Amino acid sequence: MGGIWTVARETFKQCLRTKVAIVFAVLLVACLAALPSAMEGDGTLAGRIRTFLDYAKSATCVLLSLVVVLLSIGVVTGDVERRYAFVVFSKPVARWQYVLGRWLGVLLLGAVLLAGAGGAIYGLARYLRGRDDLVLRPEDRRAVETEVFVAREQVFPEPRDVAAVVAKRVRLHRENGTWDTLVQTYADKYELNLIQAAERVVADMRKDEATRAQSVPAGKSQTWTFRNVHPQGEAITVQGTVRAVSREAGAVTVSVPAELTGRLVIMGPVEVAGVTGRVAAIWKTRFRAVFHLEDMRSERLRTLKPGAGVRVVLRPTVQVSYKLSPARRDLVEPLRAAWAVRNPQTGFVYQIPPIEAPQNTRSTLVVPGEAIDANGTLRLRYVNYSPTSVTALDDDVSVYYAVGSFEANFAKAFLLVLMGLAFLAALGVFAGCWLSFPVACLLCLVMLGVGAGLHFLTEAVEMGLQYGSEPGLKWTYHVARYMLVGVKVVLPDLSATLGTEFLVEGVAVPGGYLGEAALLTVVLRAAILLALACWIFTRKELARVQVS
Amino acid sequence: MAEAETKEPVVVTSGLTKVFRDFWGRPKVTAVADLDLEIRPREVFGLLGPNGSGKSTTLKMILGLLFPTKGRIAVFGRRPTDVATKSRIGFLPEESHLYPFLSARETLDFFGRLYHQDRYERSRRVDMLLEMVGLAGVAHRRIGAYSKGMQRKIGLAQALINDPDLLIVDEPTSGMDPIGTKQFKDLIRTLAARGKTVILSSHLLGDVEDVCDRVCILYGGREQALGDVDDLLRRESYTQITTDRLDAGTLQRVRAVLGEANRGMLEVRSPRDKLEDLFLRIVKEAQDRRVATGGSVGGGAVAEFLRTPAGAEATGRGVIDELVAASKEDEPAPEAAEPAAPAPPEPAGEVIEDLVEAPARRDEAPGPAEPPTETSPPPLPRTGEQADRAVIDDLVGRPNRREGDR
Repeated sequence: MGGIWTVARETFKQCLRTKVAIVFAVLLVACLAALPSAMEGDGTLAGRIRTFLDYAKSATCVLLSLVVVLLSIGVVTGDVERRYAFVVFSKPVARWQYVLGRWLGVLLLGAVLLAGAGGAIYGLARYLRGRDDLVLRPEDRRAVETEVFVAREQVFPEPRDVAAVVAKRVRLHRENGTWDTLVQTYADKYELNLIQAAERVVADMRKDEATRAQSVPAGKSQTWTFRNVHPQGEAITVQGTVRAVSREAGAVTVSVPAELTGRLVIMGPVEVAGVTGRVAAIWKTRFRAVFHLEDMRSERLRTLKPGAGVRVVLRPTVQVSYKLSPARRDLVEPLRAAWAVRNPQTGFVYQIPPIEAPQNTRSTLVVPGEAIDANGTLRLRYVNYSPTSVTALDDDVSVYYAVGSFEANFAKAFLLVLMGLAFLAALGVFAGCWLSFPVACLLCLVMLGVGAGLHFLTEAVEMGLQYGSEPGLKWTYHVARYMLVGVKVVLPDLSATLGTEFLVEGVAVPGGYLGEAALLTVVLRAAILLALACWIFTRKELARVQVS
Repeated sequence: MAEAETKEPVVVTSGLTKVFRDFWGRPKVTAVADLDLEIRPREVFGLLGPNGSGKSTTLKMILGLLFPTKGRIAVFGRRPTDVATKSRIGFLPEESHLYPFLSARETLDFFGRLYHQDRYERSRRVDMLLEMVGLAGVAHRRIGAYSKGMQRKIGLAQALINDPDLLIVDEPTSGMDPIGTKQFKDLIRTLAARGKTVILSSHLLGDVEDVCDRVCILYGGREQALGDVDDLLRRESYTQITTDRLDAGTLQRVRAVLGEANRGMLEVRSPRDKLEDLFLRIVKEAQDRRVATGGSVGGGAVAEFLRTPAGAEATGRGVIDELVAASKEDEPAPEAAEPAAPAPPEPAGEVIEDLVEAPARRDEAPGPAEPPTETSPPPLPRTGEQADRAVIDDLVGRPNRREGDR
């Protein structure tokens, strides 16, 4: 290990003093300095922060990927081409130690630069979070606190069981004698054999029925069931100051820090002085809660007077994300939707009266955590108050609940990037071990591009195979598919190590996702590349002269 | 070093051949062909030859930087690529292939780490080596900003950081000023006196002649001559006499005596000072006057760990005193460490006697003196003692005999 660490230290020092690293640092500082003021997003503070996080992290990843690739190639080829290796390998350092040391050194530099960039991005995001002048509505603050500066789990509704309906349709086709004709039509159209065509017919029917089930006629309702919803966030407790008490209206107005008002939900439960009421109004740094008159007469609330200190407790909430699409394309006015959740075990009901919802745009509801039963099940009911049928696809409806802090999630997202960099450093060292600098750069940059676009390429090829109508092009899609299978063995999906979507959506990076990335990207692929690099470099004549 | 170990050859090559190929793998150039060498412990071995004769290729194969096309190499009885063997080797390449972004101190520290030296030992050696090569004052300057000669010096320092048993140097004095060259030759003698083995490749014949015990002359990748320097250089058919200045009459009598012995006098001249000695003396005087310089200073104190056995205390004596003492105290076989001066051949003694004692016989056979010819007899090699004395005189500014002659 001594040799590896010595080479790594020297590599780190070398990279720090290389102009590439300096250029990167200058570019990154310029990017990060310009982004907060240049990015406005959707106009809300949450949108501005999300856009900043997205662009800043993407810019960091792109720049760092290039730096790591170029440096890892350069440190190896430079030693051979400039003959520094002559002296180094006259010392007691094994070639494999050198290769691993070079990789580790570049990775260390990448980690330091990444940490610096991460710190800057975090600091700037915190700075934006504190910009009260950019908060236009109380909902903006709530979105910042509960959808951005949080780590949430996302749960999709239980899939609909359309198997029975599909089976019925198939049976009817068979009884009417139209099944064989239908399958043959599919076989001709998509160039499939009869078995594949029959499978395709069933798949299309399943999709068709699922779509039909997700369409809600005017005045009708739709219910989704979410399982395993377990908000883990601690209840927020703050010390507030009573501003006003109205015993006749059963209302108490309390001043609290903006951190709390950002999380309150109209008609959501809130605990004031140990008594649970409902939030009736929210301002920037205060809210009004309404209580049952009986509660107002209780000892705890009866003694409340303006100016008195009071403890306010807010239990975790969950967010419901949805997107509604009207059947009528000519409808210009916003859709109207009412929502309700109910906990059958406690009888807790939370309703949102008909509100306006934008068309084809993702929107968010906040629902009190009390609506979730002890088993972690949440039932969400949607009532269509629009004058047309509305489609709310199951894939577009999900529930988010807090499971951790933004800071820990931020660190995990950057750890994902580091894993990508570990692979790229291994790729660069591997190429540098047997290619000259320009050729190795070309190879690595092509692989970097393919790795970053692997997901897109795979989808494009699959779409081409599924829906491509030009018979002559089919074989090219087949060739591309087999090539991609080979590429996927060597290259990880580098876009999956970006992790930007986790930060933008405020979604927790799953532990399994991190583990999988570590296993597939670092342990497997990077290790294989490094093993190959060691093997090649050990057999390389460092002073070889090629004559013409 | 164990007795058995001292008898083992340090480097053995057998039928060593290296063929360089083109892009398509076709053999194009035979750089080394069927080279058989056996380099023994405690000897300074020179590889001589013109450019492209295969010297550097041979060294690179010994270091494991190139693999032989045919034949075998053993270094300390192991393969050249063996990592453990490398801990006993120091290498100074033909050009300074050192990281330009590191300072001299960082460079030596880096290489010291590769030898797993602890922090104290590393720091001690780095300080001594920087002092030795005269770069202590610019140790924090990046090597990329050094002159070529300064880079050579730091290259030499890195080759010695592990106090190697085998020092391999490729064109060692290339780019060095005469001070550095002299110090290098002193160092080689010191190392040899301590029982180290040195392989030196050069086409500067003077350097090789000054320090090597044995040489191999290569041409076209093949061995042309191999043997002791003295054996190869000795010209048995000539005799050279060096004496106090003779006047014309005495010279005439010498010619007469030689004529009686049927010998001709090929050349008569006053010995000249070597330019190297003159240069060193001028620089020494400038240093004594503390003339400012932005380059390397004289340095020259051979690092303590290279002079004394491990753990020995510094004596505080002068560098060359240390060198002389080392060669006397530590060297059980001086003939292996210092090129021995050839004993004057017997006939020369008789001629001197004749010159001084027998003027009467001058007329007996006054044969005509032969005119000096283009061919000069070889100068007498200086003995180790003479070399050391000259260096001491240079360093302490003591006038020596030749200075008086001027």
